[in-house]
Amino acid sequence: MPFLMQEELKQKLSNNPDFVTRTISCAGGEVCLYFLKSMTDKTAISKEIIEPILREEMAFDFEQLKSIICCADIKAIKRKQALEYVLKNHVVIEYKSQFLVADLEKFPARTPTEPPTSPNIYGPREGFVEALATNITLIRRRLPSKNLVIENMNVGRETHTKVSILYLKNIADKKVVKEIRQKIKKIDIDGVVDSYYIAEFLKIRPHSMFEQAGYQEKPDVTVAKMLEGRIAILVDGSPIAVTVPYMLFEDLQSSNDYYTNYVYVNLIRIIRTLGIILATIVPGLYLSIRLYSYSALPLNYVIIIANSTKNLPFTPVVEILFILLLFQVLYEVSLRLPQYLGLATSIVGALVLGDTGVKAGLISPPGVIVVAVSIMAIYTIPSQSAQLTVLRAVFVVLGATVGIFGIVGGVVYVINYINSLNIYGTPYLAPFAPLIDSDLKDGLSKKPLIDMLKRPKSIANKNTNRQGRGGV
Amino acid sequence: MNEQKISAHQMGVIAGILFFTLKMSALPSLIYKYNGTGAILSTVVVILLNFMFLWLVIWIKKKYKNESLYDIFCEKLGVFVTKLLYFIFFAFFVLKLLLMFSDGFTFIKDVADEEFTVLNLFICLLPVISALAYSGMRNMGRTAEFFFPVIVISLLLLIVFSFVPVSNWGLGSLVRYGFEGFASSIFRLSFWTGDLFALLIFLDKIEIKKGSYKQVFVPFGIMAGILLVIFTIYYVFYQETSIFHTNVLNDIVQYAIGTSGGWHMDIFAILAFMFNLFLQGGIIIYCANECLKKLLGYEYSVITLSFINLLIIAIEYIYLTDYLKYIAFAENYLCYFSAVVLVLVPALLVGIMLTKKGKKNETS
Amino acid sequence: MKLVKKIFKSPIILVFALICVFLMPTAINMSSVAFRSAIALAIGIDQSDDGEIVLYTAINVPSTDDSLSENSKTIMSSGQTVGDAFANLRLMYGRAVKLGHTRFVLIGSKISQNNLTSLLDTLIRTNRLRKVVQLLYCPNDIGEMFSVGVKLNSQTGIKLSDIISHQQNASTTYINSNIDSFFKGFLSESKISKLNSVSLVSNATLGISPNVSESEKSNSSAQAGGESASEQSESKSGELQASNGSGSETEEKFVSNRGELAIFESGVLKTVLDEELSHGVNWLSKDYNPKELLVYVDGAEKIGNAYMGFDVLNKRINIESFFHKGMPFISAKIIVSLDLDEIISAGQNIEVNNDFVDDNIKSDIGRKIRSQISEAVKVSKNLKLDIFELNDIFHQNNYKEYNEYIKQGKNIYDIIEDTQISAEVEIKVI
Repeated sequence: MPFLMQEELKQKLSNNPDFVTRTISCAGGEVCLYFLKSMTDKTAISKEIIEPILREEMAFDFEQLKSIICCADIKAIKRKQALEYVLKNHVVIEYKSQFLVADLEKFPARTPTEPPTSPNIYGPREGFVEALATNITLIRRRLPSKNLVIENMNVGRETHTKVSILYLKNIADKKVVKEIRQKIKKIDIDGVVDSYYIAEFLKIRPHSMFEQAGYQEKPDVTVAKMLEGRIAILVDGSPIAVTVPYMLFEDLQSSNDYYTNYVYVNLIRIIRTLGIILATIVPGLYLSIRLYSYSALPLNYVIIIANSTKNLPFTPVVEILFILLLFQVLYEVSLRLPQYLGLATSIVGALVLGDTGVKAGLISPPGVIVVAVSIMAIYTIPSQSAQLTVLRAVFVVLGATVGIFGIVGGVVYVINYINSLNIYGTPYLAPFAPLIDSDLKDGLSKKPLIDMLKRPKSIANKNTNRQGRGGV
Repeated sequence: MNEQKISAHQMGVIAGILFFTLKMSALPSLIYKYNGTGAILSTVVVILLNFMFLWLVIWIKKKYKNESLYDIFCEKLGVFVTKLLYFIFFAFFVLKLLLMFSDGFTFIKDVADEEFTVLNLFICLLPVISALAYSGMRNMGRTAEFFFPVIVISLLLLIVFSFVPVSNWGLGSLVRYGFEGFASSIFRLSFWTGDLFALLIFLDKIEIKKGSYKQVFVPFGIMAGILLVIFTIYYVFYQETSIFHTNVLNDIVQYAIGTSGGWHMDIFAILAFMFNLFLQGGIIIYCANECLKKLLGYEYSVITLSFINLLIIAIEYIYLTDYLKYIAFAENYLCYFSAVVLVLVPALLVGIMLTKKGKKNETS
Repeated sequence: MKLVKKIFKSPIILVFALICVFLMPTAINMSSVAFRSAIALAIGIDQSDDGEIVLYTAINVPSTDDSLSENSKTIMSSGQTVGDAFANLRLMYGRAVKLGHTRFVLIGSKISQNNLTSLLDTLIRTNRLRKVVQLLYCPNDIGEMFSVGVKLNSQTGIKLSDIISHQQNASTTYINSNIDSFFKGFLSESKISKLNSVSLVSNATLGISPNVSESEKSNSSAQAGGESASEQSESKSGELQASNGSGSETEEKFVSNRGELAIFESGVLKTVLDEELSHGVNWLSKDYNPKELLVYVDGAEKIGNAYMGFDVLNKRINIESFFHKGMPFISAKIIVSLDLDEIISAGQNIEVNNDFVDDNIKSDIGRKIRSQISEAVKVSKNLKLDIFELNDIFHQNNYKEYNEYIKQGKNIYDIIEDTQISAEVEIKVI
């Protein structure tokens, strides 16, 4: 009996060499297997499908075939679904013009390791990987709750990327879940290769440079956010989970904060906040003081700066822009260079910028210090580094042209703009604007876990009680 | 909370900022001119009057839950009279903006940057405050709430650093100038004190719940207290020379240079003043915009804001480039204008409420 | 139309673009304030014989040799008015002068004969001089004073402003001498302003031997280019060279801030009180806190004739002002806490012992303080200057009676004559 899908699938898959058609003659007749050999577990196919079929001595029908095959995950499908499941890395079995599908997907994947951008001193060190199933496993392990809901969908006309929405149905707000679900379903794109694609479509203001979703590499952090009422979105092929709603202040928090003494955490959060100010404002402020507001500094500093910059060929603005450009080039180079060349580049960069440039009289030590402090401070909040870099450039222009007044005006405008962002009902600058007193327990300062009885009010959620006072 | 409404705490913060900003430049000198060392008493009375005004605003809001001032006046006084009143309000806010511009320009030129020009002021201040106004009351309320701790901390640091021990308080009798001096200082300088009137313009954008009094009065009280302390320090330090200064906020910290390691400490004055200037500017231009929109019956803020911007630029360039001239103008003529606005409007509102016999309030 | 809609959607981006296009090129070409303008560290103002305003400005000169050192040079310019002098300075030096970091202002003797308030008002309003900048009276040539200062900087690293402020703090007659206090005095009832007076004295006067090495001698003569100070004073404008004084190799000049007070009435200089008289004035001032007290005791029981040096730990004063039968009275009680520091008798040091300070010595000390006060009172009455600010005291504390006193046809000078001042001094040795 000719197999219905054999030629059709071959043609539709453009005679791809890794598409395999395996015909088995057995007691029941002929069974045909269709699969992509690069994406399926061939050992499992032999052991769980071919061997049991060949072992059968009696004739069997389609229903009996389901019991003969030993796979854990097997179901019947329609003919028109065959191509879809082959492309989903399943094994499609045709027998007597009927079809079964077995999930025997296998492809090279990483094991969960500590993510490079979120190291922990204490606390879990597992991170998400590219395989969606593994990521879901990591979440489920930490959240074996009957209220955990996982909704799967495929996005992308060509990639059919698996996307999963995870939330706790007794905590997350239904309206937000519905809105997110609808937005993801509406995505009409040829391919989704990373979770950032999904995050782009979930943005309230797509053209804004500010992030409007959280990006987590760690399952423990993701679970913690889900417990506050957020929704997590996992994308197959991406080790980053997207969480919404999002507040700017999330980037000032780190997973280490919840595994360390709260007094130390309070100090560190203040330093991170100062880091934002240093990163964005200091170069512009330096220029405004040098060009306009010389009386803001004590005379000794004015003299030191004047002495250090006396014979420079560049004006202050050109000098700062030049140093910024050099540092930025060095950064880009360090991202793309192979590891074994990194050391040489660091030495060259340090020598060129730190020593030779100053000795040659091209740049001044105060300028190098100011820009270096700014560049380093950006990485107190790595997830906002892109935004802070852009803002720094803006403040450099404002400081150079209008002075301190321009910088203050810029700050006011940016804060006001940020305040206009409401991410699925959550104000962007919560809990500071609007001021939500109860949420300040985990704001700029952090209280011990024992004092955090309620979930944050800034995020829409149903069940506000986080813990009781039973043990205290 | 409704989309475009501000909370009680945000209202208190806005009231505090409105109350504080325009008083940090030449006003203490002017009060001293009229009432000598009794200027502290005048300040206390002004604070009390503003507290009463704030209480009145909350009371009116509780009576008229969702109605705006325009709706209230239209219902009782008719559209024509209401539009006439709104024209007066529009002029009031534009004049306030001009005073704010002059204050800001003088302060920045004296303290931050000697080469500061009017062009720099316009190119920075006008777009930012217009953007603030355009973004709506809710965003401005949040922005004000966000910067409020920064402003308060800057002012408190300013007070701490200005605290150089003074052996001679030198204030003497606070009633030296008698009732005439006292009344003159209150009346003649009323244009500087009428800022809380802006709360009535966006009355419908405020959300007041039960027990909101504390949330409103605490931030306002903090700013009022800081203002009183700053004025007291100023009069104690400068005594007879109190009439010479146009930048009180910066001048109280001048004596600190000996104790501060060479730092002039201007930076705290600069930060506090500039943040206040932008926030106050945003609120005032928002009110001016709302008045103009109601006057013209036009809903597009972009056009009305652009018109206000051009109007300000034109007046500043053509007429009011001299700060001292504007102060004299405000003392001699605008005091009558602001007396009309600040006394007439609340009186009208109270009168309307008394004759209204309690309309059933709509639920929110 | 699409572009217009885009612009109106986000006009702030248009504004930012305009800033980048129109203001950024200027900013890119703008050099730092320290090079664009002349940062004045100190200024001195005097009047020449033909009535021109002479302005001395010590300007910071950036140096690459040592990034931490402060180098200055003094430029002299003149003009019909202060503004004219600054404009001429700008022409000569090629930069506008900025007074934001000015540490002190020296006022010369000739210009002090005119009302200083309008001059200072110009400096504050137009040139943005801070109101709390030190204001000092200088009876000598201001140019010479700055020359000494420049020399100090280059050779010793000590700045002229440090000398003045350290001496002031160590001085026994330190008062708050700044522009604001000058105006306070001018506007007060007494119309009296007091300024500290700084002068140049030679080492011969101080009894100090010259401390000039061979290399310094050849350096200084090369710097001076053979010019003497007297020759320099003839030049109308230009840079001042560091000088060694009036031609003599052994004579050096030093800045002296010995507690002399220049007394101004209604902004015009009336007199300069020497150290003793300044003590007398300042004993009755609440701001006056002396550091040292030197007393000569005659025939003391345990030590005979000796000089006793005390550190003044604390001085408290309680001034009571009242009118009795229409006449003004001031009663002051001064409590001074002292620590015996040194006893020199017949040229030899005696071991310090507080027991030596008996009641007689205490009453000697009190007598000395009272005699200083009474000398100052005499000067006040002779010159008809309200140096004790009696009008302010009565105006503040006894307003009604003071008004009635004035209504009797008296003026502010009569109160100087009429006031009876009594001072009770209590000495405590700790």
